[in-house]
Amino acid sequence: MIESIEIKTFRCFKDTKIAKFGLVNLFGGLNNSGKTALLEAIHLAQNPDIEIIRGLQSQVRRESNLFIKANPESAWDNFFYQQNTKEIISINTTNNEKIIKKVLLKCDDDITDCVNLRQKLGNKEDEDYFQDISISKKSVLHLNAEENGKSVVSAFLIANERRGITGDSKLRQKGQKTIFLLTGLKLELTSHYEQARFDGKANIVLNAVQIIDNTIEKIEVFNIGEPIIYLTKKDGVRMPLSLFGDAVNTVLKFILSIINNPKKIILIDEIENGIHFTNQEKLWKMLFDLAIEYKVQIFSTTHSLEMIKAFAAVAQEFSDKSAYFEMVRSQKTHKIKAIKHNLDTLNFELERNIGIRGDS
Amino acid sequence: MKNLLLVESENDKLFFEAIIKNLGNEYLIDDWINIDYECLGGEGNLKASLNVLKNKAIKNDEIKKVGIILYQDKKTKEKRLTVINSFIQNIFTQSNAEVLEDTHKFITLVADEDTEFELACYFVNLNEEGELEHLLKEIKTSDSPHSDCLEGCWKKCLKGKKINFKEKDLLKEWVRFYIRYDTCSNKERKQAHRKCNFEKSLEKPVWNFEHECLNELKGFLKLFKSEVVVSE
Repeated sequence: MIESIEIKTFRCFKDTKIAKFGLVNLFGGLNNSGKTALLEAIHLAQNPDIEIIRGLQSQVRRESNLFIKANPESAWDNFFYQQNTKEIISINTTNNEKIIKKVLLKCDDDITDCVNLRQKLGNKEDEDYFQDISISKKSVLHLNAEENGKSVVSAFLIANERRGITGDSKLRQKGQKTIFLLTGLKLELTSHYEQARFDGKANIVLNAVQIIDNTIEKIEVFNIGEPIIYLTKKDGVRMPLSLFGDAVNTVLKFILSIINNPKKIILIDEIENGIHFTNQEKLWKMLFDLAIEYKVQIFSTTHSLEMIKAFAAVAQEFSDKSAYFEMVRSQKTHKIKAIKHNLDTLNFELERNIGIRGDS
Repeated sequence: MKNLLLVESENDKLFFEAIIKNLGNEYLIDDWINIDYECLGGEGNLKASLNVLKNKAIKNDEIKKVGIILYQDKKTKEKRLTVINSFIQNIFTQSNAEVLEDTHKFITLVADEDTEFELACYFVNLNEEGELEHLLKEIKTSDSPHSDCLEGCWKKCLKGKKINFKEKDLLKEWVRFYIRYDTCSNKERKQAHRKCNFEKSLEKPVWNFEHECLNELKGFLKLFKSEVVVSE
């Protein structure tokens, strides 16, 4: 479980330290206060990998490959605070076993290290590769990661007008340690459901879906042309999952991510999406219960006051497992800060309508 | 930069504002323009309010001085200070927090690595005990037959019937009767909700803001006067 994070010159973070994370964490704040960027930092810190960096570019920030190919020199700008690529990004996390993970990102146009790394890896299938790159516009992102001072990853990504983005990695880590559930992300739920069913967890999934719609009686997968999840209601009507609303899909996404990934970290952006306020407390109760059972740490963001109220109400039962943070930008230093509101204070503030989402 | 006063109730806020307004010609309205008030809704909310204050200071970064004004009630000043100090030590953990040793004296509190502010406290009292209503009764300027009779007769009656009562409840009723029956005209009483309330009473010459029992409190409030910024 991550206990703290220190982020320097990454995205909107100039220099921010956040400590005392809980098992289930919720972050509120104004737009552009760094909530999603914080999830990205955690994602990258736990999975220092070139594929993750590419994912952050294309899936999270939806940066177009065509644009990057046309402007390779500025391909990495948006990762850096105020697009200052002369700085070095550093993200440190400390977990409850006192393992310190450190990720460093550096940007320049020097491909020497990349040539050496590619040669070491015996990647010689394309001899024109570096010649192509050296004579055209480019920028290089160097990724290095350490665990308790020992190098665990060394990688690079080159953005180039001829080749687009290419990269290599030494000491790649196996398997992702975090699951990043973005708003609007279409997770292929069928195979995840089948995995849960195979592991004997079908009932847990059904119970979770019933939080949203208690008329759902059965979940099945039928492979007619392609495998599709069908939900059967008490009146016997069976319909494909796609015909149910966002809430059922969202809850399925949450629950399958947790029960199929024990001991991992789940990152949920804009957790309130699609969930009616009358179901929010039940959802939090389920998330707390499952997080404890499957030893999963959750980091979630929200804009919704109702979602925060529901969190605060349910967290009373899990006070040592929960943490609410308000993301704000200091007017004096312009640094982003995450203010931890202890549960008693949070409830006091909610009772008195005191701003807890970056508002005054 | 703002100065902030944490006070027990809305009535305290109104009373302190009236004291400031009656401080005399040596002070200008602008001297007090930077004071915000937060009503605790009872001293039981002080710890939560200090937590909120810390969050607010980090968030807004514009709080310069904070004053806590509680009722001394039946506790000693030292006991009150001890309670506030224990909250401060518990909440402001960024560095070893300073200790309040007396009223009217500022300490510096560190909210986080970039944010600090000054804090001092005062306990409303009359002869080392009491609360707002004790001061109000002391500074009345009008005759008070209705309120005196209510207090005297009610107390006697309750004692006769062996019913327990709190002196402070009787005193609150004394103030209410003084405002409504001793200092309001018959015409005003017809719109009592609007014209015979505490806020309206502060606009009438029914309280002596020059009374010496207010001197300590005035001294404390003056600590929160805006500082003149001289531009070069």
